[in-house]
Amino acid sequence: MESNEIESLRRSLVASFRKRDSRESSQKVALQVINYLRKVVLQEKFESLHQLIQSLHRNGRVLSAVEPNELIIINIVLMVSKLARDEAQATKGPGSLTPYDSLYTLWREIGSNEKSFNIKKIKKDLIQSIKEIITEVETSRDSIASQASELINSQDVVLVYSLKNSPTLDGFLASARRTRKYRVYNVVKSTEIDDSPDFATPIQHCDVGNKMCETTKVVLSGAAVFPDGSCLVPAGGLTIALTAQRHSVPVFVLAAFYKITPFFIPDPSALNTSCRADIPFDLANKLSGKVELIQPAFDILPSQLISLFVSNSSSLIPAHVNRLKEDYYHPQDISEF
Amino acid sequence: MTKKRHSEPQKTTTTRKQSQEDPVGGLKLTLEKLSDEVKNLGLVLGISTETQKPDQSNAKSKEESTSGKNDFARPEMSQEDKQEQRKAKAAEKKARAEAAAAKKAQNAPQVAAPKNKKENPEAAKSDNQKDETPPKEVIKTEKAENPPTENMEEEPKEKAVRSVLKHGGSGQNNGKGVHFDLNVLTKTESEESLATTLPEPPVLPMEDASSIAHIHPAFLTISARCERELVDDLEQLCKEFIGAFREYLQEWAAARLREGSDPKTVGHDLDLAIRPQLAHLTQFGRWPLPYALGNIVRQLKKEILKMDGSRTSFFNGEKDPTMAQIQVLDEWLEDTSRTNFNLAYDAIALHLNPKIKNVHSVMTYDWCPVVNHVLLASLNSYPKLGVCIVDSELNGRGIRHVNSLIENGYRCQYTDLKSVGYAISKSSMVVLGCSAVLSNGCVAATKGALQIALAAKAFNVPLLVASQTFKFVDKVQSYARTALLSRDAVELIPSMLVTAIVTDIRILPPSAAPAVLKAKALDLE
Repeated sequence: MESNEIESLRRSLVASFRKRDSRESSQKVALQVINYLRKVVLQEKFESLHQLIQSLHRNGRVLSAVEPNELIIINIVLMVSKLARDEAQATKGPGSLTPYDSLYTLWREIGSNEKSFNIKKIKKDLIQSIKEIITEVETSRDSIASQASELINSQDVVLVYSLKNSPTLDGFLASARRTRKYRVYNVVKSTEIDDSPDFATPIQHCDVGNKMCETTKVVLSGAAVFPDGSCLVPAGGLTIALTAQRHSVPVFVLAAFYKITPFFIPDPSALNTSCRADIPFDLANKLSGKVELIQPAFDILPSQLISLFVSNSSSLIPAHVNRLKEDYYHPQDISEF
Repeated sequence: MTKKRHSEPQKTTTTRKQSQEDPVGGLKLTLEKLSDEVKNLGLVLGISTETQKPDQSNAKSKEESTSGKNDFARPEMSQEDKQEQRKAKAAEKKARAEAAAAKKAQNAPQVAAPKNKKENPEAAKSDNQKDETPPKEVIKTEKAENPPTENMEEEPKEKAVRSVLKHGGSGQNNGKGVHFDLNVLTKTESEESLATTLPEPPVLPMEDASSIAHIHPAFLTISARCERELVDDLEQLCKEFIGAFREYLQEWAAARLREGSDPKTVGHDLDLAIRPQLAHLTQFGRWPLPYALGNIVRQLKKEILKMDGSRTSFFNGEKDPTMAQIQVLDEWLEDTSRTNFNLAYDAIALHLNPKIKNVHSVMTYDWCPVVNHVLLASLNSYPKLGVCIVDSELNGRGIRHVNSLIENGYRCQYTDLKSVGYAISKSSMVVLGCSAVLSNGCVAATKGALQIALAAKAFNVPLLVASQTFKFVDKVQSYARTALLSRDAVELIPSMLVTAIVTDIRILPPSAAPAVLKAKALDLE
């Protein structure tokens, strides 16, 4: 069924996931997966919409089995499959109904007419909308950054975390710097104090409690957003958010649309990855076999700690994430995947 | 610890990067310019002699800040002169008094004469001692203090320089604009008040050699060790303070015996004598003593004031009332040290033991000797107990817990502050050490402890604080920084987040802090 080209493409993609020694930027991962799916749609031959979606899901399952911790793969696959359904819907015309339409629509539109549709047209349109989604992913950073001037005011004191690993956060602050004059506290390790950019004052994690009194806004970068409004942030974000809540400081989480995960994860700690601990060799040698070093990569931030999600299309409160989810995912995909 | 120390200069370098490329050179230049300006100003105003004062101080500070140890000679000499003058006056007085006594008691002139002779060489000896010792101390403390002060005082220095510049600038303007006004001012007798309004020299008063001369080396050692971060927790500081005070007490007692003064004024005199010593530790009241140490000092002062010779009947062994009183004080110090740092540990461990029995895993943060003792005791009773040690950053102070657990053959988990969100979900109890419990139930603990407390609250994990009763202070936080342990800044955990405080009396809710203060007579009267 699958051509050799797809197979080799998948291999190279998996190899690129495995090769990296630290987590790549999520945007890159998203683009890689979308491009892969685009080629799948282009190369493979489908007879029906059902086949097309099945093929997309199959490829998605293989990839997510390779990288079970990378939620973005699933997100992108489901997004593309929703696009396929939308295209089919568009070709069918407004008359067709799905079980997920609103009761009002179902009541009004009696008697659906089973139109046969042209799969080639769907494919062509799907490729077109995949291209659109690629552009959306590529411009997501800029569109998040463009909201900075609305969210950050002059004389603000903004506390940020994991600035080093998040180009989105960097862009957001840079955009705000253009129009606003504000201060930045950058929470870093003591070894990274020198690497902190000039515009930010580096502070250590243990100083957060003291500095929170002066802070007016906390900005974190999210790794995944769940439909209940909770999200994954780099480890350490939870205590910062808790401190912010204690001091009634608003917490913003920057998350592009492809980070919105369509389903609840009952135990998000299961997909929490560990990262390497940086301790001196002699200490590691001494501790080996006797001491367990806990170094998770992410913290789960419950929704009540978050004031606002800054997504590329808009800023939204945690309760509205579930609503936004429906713009990107089809309920049938979520239940079938 | 080492990381911390490294981080300090890095911070300063980053801050200075923005202002100047070569900080020392820049500082020198600005100071030179400044002194020139001040001279010019003096010339303009026609008060060359007066303007030398700030000039000298600036020059001195400059030399001190760079490297000069030799320059202590001048102020040192003046100080010695003063001391000699005082000595001479005292000797004259004595001589007069003794002459009078001799006249009165003409029956025994032979006794008085040798006494006089005896005392004179002693006085000379003490003079010599005092003359010899200060420079040594100065050099010692300079050596000890120089490396850290370079890091520590850069900011104050810069500030001082800034203020100096400001003053200088405004002074110049005044000199140009309101000429006669200043002239009038300089001719008045309120010269000293003018001098006080002049900018402070950009060095801390601690560094002034003359102020150090009369400080006992034991206290100098403490402040120097604190400067170098060799003493970094409160327990150790309190222990060292008690040790240093006992050392000081012995020498003071010996000197007292030689003088042979009235035993009834021992307490009063000792109280007077320790004041400058304590003032040195607090940098002349610049910062308050750390909460719990302040408690010890207060209790100590109370004990000292009891030494009025009224309780001489209790002193059975000693014949000399002075020595007997000092011995009592010494015993009190030893007793305090033993009670607070040995017996209290055991008591706290004993009280915590039944609570920790059904606990699956305990978490603690940063280093605290009490907590370490408690953990080892609990592991001894319940070897299956899981222990998770959280450090502000990996390989920080908390590694001492890990080391002691490994040495005793126990396993543990180790993590840093950023991973607390995950680690706390696996723990069922948090035990923290503290440096003070305030009267409103707030707990002063190491920086970062607030985040642990908040995480514990969020995950519904009980938070116990292990604290000896002497750490209860009748204060609320009114200042952010304390003397001696300045870099070990504390953070307040609000009483809302504390489940209970484990003390050597019993386990208490934080709201019971005033009761403890009352029971232990630690409250301010």
